[in-house]
Amino acid sequence: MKINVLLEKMLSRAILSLFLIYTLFPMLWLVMASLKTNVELLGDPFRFPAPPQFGNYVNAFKSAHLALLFSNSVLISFSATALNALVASMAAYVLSRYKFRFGPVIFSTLITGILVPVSALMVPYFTLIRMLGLYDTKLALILTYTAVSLPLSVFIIKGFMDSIPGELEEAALLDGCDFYQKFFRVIVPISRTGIVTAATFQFLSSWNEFLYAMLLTSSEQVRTLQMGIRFFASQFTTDFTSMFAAIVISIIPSVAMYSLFQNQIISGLTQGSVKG
Amino acid sequence: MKKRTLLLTLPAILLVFSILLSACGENANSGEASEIEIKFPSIWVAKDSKAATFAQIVRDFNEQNQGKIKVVVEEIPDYGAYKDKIRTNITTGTTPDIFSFDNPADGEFYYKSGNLADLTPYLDEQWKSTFLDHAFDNAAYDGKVYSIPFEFGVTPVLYNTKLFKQAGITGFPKTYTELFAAYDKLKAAGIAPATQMTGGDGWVSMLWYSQLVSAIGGPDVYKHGLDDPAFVQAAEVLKKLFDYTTGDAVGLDNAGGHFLNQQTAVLLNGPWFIGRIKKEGIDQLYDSVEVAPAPVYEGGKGQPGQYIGFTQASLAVGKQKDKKKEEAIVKFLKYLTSPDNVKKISLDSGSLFVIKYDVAKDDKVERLQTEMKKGMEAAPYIIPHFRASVSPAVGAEFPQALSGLVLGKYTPEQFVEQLKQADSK
Repeated sequence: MKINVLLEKMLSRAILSLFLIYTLFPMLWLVMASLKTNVELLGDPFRFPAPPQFGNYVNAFKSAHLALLFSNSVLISFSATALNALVASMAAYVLSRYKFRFGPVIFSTLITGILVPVSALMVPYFTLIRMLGLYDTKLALILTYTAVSLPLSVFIIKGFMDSIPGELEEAALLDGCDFYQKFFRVIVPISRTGIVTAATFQFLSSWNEFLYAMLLTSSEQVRTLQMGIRFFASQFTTDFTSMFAAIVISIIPSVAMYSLFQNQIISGLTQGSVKG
Repeated sequence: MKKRTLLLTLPAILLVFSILLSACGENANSGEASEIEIKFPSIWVAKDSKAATFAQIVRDFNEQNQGKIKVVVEEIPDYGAYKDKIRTNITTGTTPDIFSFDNPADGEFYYKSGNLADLTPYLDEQWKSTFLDHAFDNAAYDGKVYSIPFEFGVTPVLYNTKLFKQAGITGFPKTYTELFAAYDKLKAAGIAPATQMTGGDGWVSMLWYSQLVSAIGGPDVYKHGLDDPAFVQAAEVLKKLFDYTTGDAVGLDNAGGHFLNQQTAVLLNGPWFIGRIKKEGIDQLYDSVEVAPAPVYEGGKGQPGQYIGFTQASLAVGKQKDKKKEEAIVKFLKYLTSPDNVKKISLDSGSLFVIKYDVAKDDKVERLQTEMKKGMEAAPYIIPHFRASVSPAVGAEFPQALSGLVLGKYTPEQFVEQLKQADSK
């Protein structure tokens, strides 16, 4: 019996270690590669850098103006996340708590947006932003990111709101809450986990988005960090090591965001999936 | 109640915010009322070898035309992203004032859109005489000139004489039989003979296939379409060439890394690679590199010394409502393509152009660039590469089909069949 337990433990540890290596290895390689010279990297991609080229980080910051692009990314990603969370939770609330004609059809139509590849929407979004006079503004990216991720956010938040007992709303009504108070004082606090989950996904997708950042902007003043990363890749030459340094810089906020909210995200994903 | 007010005012706040931001954008872009602003999304920025000289030329033009014309460069170094943006711009009728493209097949798509300016009236004899003969062969559609050819690319063999010497080989082989014999010697000396790749667009191997197709089928091979037996024969030889490359060739995306690190002895690539050999090559690689034409195929219709050559970049102009702006754009194009400015870019970057310029004795010309130019001038004919000679769908299918060929999933016949299927879609 003891041997069986021991074997089971060893097997599970071995599998988990394998996954850990599989997950961490690319990250470690990226950091290691960002500290090499291009010649070292192309010659032997897996050898340790000797000596470490911290200058790659300085080069990345200076030549691609990463400081400006970083602050733009922060503003755009946080604004898009806040706006998306607000709009998605409102939509999810109505779709989850109210029965009305075409409600399920509206929800299904909205959800199909998850399946549409973003590259297929380039022409309509570009046309829309031009028509609104927002081309080459930060607001163009904020609105686009908010809209593109709405289907997924509504899907996640609605799944969570479906599990909230109706009695809570009834109690709020008896206590004298109106429609908006009911939403902001009762539903939103209880759905916090679901909203944070959706918001984290929204933040990550906004932070890492490149296609629309390139399509809807033309001047450096409004561009994002992902555009800065591409600065090192030209038609025939790529400065890989500086590019990797820029990538390392760019993933720090994503990792920080996820680490900060990982408990909420995991419980949000699991709780939202079960009706209680 | 407060929440409701907040909710109702939120859209209003957003609207005001949006108007303010767009107004700021307009202010920033408008400049002086009389000044014509020309927008030029460009890939010749950031780390591109032409970036510094190109930026200087734009600065000089703007200074010379201060208060009248201003060229604003939109930096998009990522070429894939650049193409996506230009295509979207053209599809939505917001064609940039000036842009560049490389593939004639893309050019045809742009010409047909009806969103490009007709440059025929501006192309006088004086301007035209500065270009090489036949430079405008792919620039016209429906009898009108829609683009100005600019950069020219040739892709001869670059080989490492130091590694050849180590394997006991002198000079570059003249035939494919000699080439495989030389490759055997290199292999025996522990050196991977040549770079091949199937990752990305399979650029280097696509160039080998181009060399083989025209060496076997002759300069008119593309006139017969993919039914010409040369395509199958070339695939057979290409598969054999993969026996003489590095272990990571299937999936390899980086065309030059192995050659720069002296891990392969042969590479097919163009003049734009010269700068990288100088900057990134190890152990004074530049001094060991020589240029040669690709070998001749015994029994093939191709001639010795054939060169693969193609217009690497053409410049096009978006259709303009304002005639004055169109004239200003052409003024800039003439300035950019003037022999003096082209010479500056060429000498600085090593790139070749379809515009003629004189080289003085004290001009510092790259040795490899001169060798490429000489080889090009001595070539019996210059033929475009495979991707530029077939439909975009076939070009896109090539790397996938090549992986299948190399991994034994497809026979050479099935490889060509894959390409034909892509063509018929």
